[in-house]
Amino acid sequence: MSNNQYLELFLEESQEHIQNINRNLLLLEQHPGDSEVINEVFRSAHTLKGIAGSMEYKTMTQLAHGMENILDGARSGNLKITPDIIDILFECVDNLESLLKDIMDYGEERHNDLSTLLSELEACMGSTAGGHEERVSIKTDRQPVVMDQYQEHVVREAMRTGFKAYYIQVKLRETCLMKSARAYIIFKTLEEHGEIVYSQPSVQDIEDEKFDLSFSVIVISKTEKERIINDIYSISEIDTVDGVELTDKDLQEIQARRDESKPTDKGAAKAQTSSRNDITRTAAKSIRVDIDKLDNLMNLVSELIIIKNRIQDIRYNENSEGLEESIEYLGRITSNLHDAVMKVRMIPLQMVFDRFPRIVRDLSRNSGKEIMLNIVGAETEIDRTIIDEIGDPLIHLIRNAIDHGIESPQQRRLLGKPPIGNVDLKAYHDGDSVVIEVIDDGRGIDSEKVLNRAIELNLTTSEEAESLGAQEVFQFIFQPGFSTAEKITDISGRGVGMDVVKTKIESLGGTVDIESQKDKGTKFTIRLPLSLSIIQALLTNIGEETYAIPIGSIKEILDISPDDIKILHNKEIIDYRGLLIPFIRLDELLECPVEQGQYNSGYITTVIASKGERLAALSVGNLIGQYEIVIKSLGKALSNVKIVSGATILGDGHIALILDINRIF
Amino acid sequence: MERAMQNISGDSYDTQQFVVFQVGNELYGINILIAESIERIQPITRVPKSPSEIIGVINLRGDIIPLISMRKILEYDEEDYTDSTRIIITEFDDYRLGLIVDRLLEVLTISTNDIQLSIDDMSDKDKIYISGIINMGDQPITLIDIPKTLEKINIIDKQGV
Repeated sequence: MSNNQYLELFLEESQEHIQNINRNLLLLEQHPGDSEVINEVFRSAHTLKGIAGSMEYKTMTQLAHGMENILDGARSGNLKITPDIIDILFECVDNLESLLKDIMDYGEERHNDLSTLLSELEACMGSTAGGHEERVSIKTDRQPVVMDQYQEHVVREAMRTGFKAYYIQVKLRETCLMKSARAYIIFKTLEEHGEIVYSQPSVQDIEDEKFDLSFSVIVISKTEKERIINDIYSISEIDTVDGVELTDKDLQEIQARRDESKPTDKGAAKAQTSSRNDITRTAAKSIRVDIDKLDNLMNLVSELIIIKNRIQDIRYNENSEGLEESIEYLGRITSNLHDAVMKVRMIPLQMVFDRFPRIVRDLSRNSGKEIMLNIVGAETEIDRTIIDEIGDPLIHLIRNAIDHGIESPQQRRLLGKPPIGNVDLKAYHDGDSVVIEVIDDGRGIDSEKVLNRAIELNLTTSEEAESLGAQEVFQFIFQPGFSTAEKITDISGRGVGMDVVKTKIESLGGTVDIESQKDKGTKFTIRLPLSLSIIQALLTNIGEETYAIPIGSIKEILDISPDDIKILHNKEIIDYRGLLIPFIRLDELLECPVEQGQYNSGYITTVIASKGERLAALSVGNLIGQYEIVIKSLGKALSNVKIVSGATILGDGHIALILDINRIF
Repeated sequence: MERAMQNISGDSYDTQQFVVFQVGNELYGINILIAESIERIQPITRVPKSPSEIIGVINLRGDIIPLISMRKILEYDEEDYTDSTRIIITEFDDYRLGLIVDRLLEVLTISTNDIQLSIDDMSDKDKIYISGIINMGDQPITLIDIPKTLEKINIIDKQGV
């Protein structure tokens, strides 16, 4: 496996552990004494330290190590978890996260100034009345040796085959100038006699002069102890050298120590690997897949092969009845296969939602508002591509809800509401789409304010404004530069954002709707397609061309008479079940060449399309039918053409463009 | 993908290869490093609201490829496609595009020394980015840097920093 692949694994695993620490720290904050939770955080911090260490990311290792120490203290009862400690731990996780991001972006840790945090960590440990970890105690004649299983195994094996294992502690003179160079010479000398299997601090730390004056090693050798010690004394600037031969009893002690607490300098004596400068952004594109899903795929593929063979046979025998049956069967398998492949790409929204409790906690602290975040339906699965993109828009909506929506506890009491504000995050499947709702019980959106601001910005006129429904008024919020916030806060209210939210969601083929009631709250409803690559679509002629309209955005298909079309504000509209909706002639909009006489039949075939709550009637030509189509990109050169979202290849090899209903009205 | 180098290096032993084609009554060449294949003309699907230089898209063995009319870019009038009309499929950076040309002539291997860098007032066609002129046979060949040309007319995004 190349270094690169290790890196990907490392990034993925670290992200999971950071996520896990975050989640459990939140729990810990509520139940500070829960040893199960402390253990969970400890385990994650420990693993994180291990993997960061093996990748030689020093700062991450240090941080994780610090966290591990605190949690270990808490585990053993030497340390009490206080809110202050939780804050420090949170800060550590944040820093771990930003370090991880550095590694992802630049291939190295860039964040350097962690000395304060590290000393805070130290200070926490200091308050534990000592006795926990005696890492840098020079005076004690023997520091506790903590070897991992592998190192211990090497020592045992060596002792069994007639070698001797020496524990050697070297102390340099205080006047020694280049400690690491001196240490290097000592290491070299020791290596002449045998093999160094363990060192404390780690070789890396010694090289970086991250040790005081003394360090200790375990050497396997056949040479007498006295000779080795004398050799070391022959090197200048050495203060003292102590050597002990390790016995079985020592090893048992070491093992016992490892079993009781697991902090080890795993991989400490490992030599540096090649430089990692060439590794830049290789953000994890992989997903972990439930083995059942893969088994299912495998089964389907085998069935596919069987049926293929059967069809081959039939071709030779020209048995047309069997052929039809086989083709039907083939159809069934391919659609199952499609489902199965789609499922493999599906990931629960949990991946995204897990970040939110932490964000809400911080926001609620900063704003002085008490907020309860209720998450429902985190298990709802959605395509991986969407998972990666949906986080930021959701964070934005949640921030808005907390900053603009939820009132301060005092205000809430005055309004007769419970002082704790609620932000609900709900996800569920609805047909071919996934719906995510962000609901708050705050002050709601003042539609009058929105309208005034819209008029101010020339987005509408006061005459037009009167005929607008609530839904249409709220849509103004999504206009670039629109903000009614009187107070600009750190969190939101700069007038950027909502348009970005909308653009992002629409680029994923989704829609956003707003419902809001003054003093009752606001509800954002995001509707997203389950999957991006294969959709059900209506194929239709428009003029002489063929287009595909996603079924998900079609409400109904009607034939309307030209007399039904009315004019309002210079725009064509029709009355659809008592609702006036715009009538859009697609052939004109798309500038399609039109066959003579196409519209002479008297009736116009019309698709009632919906974009969230909003409807429009779109004139089309002859309908071809409903098909399952594979979405293909038009390529980068046409990425600016917004009216089509992609293309599909029809059975005859021709291309049909897929209309993006969101961009039509 | 690495941007194909169309710059002319100073080494006199270098040779370069160009795909030479005809548009109108002149000859043009593009660096072979960005040319992927040559295709005959096939049914084209128009894309509404796209830049006028993009004629439409074709289905090239399951991939959708936008087509650019070299006639439009070289400022000739559009003409009906004939039996000799060809599509040069090019690939550079993240782009895959087809260039529609009137006729394909040859692949020319030529020493870098034989490429003339520029002539003053060389062309009244200001849409293209010319990387050099070859003056060897009966007719001069204008070498076009396709990525830079498409950047110039905003079909593709600016590359680099």
